[in-house]
Amino acid sequence: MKRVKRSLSCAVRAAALLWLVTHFTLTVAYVMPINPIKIRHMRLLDMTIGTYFQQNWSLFAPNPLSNDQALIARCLSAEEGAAAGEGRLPVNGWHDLSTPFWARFQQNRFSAYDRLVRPQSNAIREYMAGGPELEEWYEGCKKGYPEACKRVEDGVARSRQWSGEMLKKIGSGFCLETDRAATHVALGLRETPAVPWSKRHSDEAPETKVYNLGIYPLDRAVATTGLHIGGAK
Amino acid sequence: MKTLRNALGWLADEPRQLTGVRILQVAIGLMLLFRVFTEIPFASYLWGPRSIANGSTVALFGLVPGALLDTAFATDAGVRLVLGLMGAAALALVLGLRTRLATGVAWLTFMMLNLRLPSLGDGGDNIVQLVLVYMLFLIPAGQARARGSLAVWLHNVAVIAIGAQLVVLYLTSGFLKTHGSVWQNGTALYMIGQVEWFSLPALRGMFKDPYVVTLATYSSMMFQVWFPVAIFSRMKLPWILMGICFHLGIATFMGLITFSTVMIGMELFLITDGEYGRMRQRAAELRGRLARFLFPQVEAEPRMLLFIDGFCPKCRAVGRALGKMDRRGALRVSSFRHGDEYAAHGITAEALERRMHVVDLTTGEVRAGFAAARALASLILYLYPLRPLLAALDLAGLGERLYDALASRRLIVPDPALCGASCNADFDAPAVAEAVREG
Repeated sequence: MKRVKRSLSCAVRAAALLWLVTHFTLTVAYVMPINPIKIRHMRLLDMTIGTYFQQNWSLFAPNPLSNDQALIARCLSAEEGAAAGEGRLPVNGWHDLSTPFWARFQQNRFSAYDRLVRPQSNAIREYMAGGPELEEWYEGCKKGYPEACKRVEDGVARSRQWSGEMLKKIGSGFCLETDRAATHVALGLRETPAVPWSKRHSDEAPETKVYNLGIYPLDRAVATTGLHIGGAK
Repeated sequence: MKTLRNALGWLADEPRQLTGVRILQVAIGLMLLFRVFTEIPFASYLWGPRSIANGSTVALFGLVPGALLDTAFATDAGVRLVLGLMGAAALALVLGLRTRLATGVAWLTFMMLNLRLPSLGDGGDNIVQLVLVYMLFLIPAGQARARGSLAVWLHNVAVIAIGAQLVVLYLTSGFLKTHGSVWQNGTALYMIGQVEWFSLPALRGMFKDPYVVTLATYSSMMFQVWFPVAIFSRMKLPWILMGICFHLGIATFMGLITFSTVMIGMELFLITDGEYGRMRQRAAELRGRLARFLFPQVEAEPRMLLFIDGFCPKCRAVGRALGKMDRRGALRVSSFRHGDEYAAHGITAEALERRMHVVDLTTGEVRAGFAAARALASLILYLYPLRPLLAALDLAGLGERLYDALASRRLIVPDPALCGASCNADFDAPAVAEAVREG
């Protein structure tokens, strides 16, 4: 009995070491930039680390975020919704849903403002380009890896679907708080690039761009934060 | 072969990083508590049945267990229960109670919330969800295991896994940064400072300075790239200190409080129990010194005897000031004009007329002039701040000259009580009269 126990203990020790070596070999392969080995074992890496130990350590790399991407929303009445469907969006009455959260987060770091704005900021990034997870695959695609291009294509389609759904809910929540008569919400992205280093001392404001993120019927079931009432402008 | 034997011995002998493990548990516990307390008012909006979330736990846990776990998100009460469990587990981790169970509950609830709304997380959440898995194999806090047991082996494998995960994080992040154009041209922190989400307007101007931004950008990148090498070298502790400062900066400037808390915990985890032991010893010594400084105890016998010129009013004032500063009673001041105690220490009156002398009563060593001043600065705690200045003067060869210049210009007012026929100090009568008026 003692001998069996001892053998079992040895087997568990060996298995633990084997796991350690295998796990971190796969982890390093998974987190490294696109390379021929990673491409070759992509399926295995996705099935192991990608599923059970998902990780992304780009952390402001290769280049950090260099623009403010604010979600803007316009609650639409039934008539405005119908007009918007024909391509006539109102010019006035748009609200910035991101900047007030950033401003409050700057005033109080010990708060949830960062977490509350994260879903919308990440959903915008996902909607526009598939999110940071796809960045390295974009690079790989540019370098001529067809597998990387396929992954980007699939990733953008997938993330646009769920991020569009999330943005619709965020916009609906805002309209339910501020304009209960609204039937639709129009969403947009206002992108303000960082002032380039060379112009850091000039007063010249950077040129902002606005992108249309779609018009959605209001989801009346969605919960609200309670923070937009009288807040967002 | 010997290296392999040492490595296996390291794994089998005794549980490693016990202090580091506790610090990591506390850091993760605090991070989770912070999240629970700040996010629970918005639980319905973030994870509830009517929330903005659309994720599921099925991808990780499988169809049946995943569907079962997802039922927690079918009601707002269920979401609050998950958050409450996570809070309880986090508190247990902070307090060191049932840490293995607490780790398991923390991991399960944390994963459920992350999978429900993946876009809520940051890098800190990512490392926590991985590290909590490895932490399941650590020996629970406060429990002992026999040397060489299987539990010790698994504990040490988990310790390596946690360390390796941190190395992978820094290596990848640093490696990717070296490929970024703004990291290469030294303006990355300026760019981050321009983004509202991750900046503090009050500190934004700081990164407009070319020296600050370049040094800060390159040092952030170099810290990460060299981390895997530094922690296996003599630079380990300075590197960890640098990492702590780096993450305190991230918490302040970028507001990533939870990420920084976890990363600081991960860095402190790397310090071995031996290193913590030495740090505790040093801290105890410093505490002792501080206590002696703040609450000095009067010594039974003075340790030093200072001979001053009792005919010199300024010298007497200095003697009185030193006596007041010497709260431990380690110094005795004596006038060589009023006694011949000095002779017992082999000092002559002529030497004392030129320079003050101190005698170390424990060793009998005699120092004169500037060396005596340095000895006094080492004895009296209030004079400690002067020590670097005195050392610099000594090094420059100015100490003795400065002392002699002051000592030779001192005013001497003989004590009439002692001044018999032999008292023939050559002095300036009007100046003496004034000095007497001053007392």
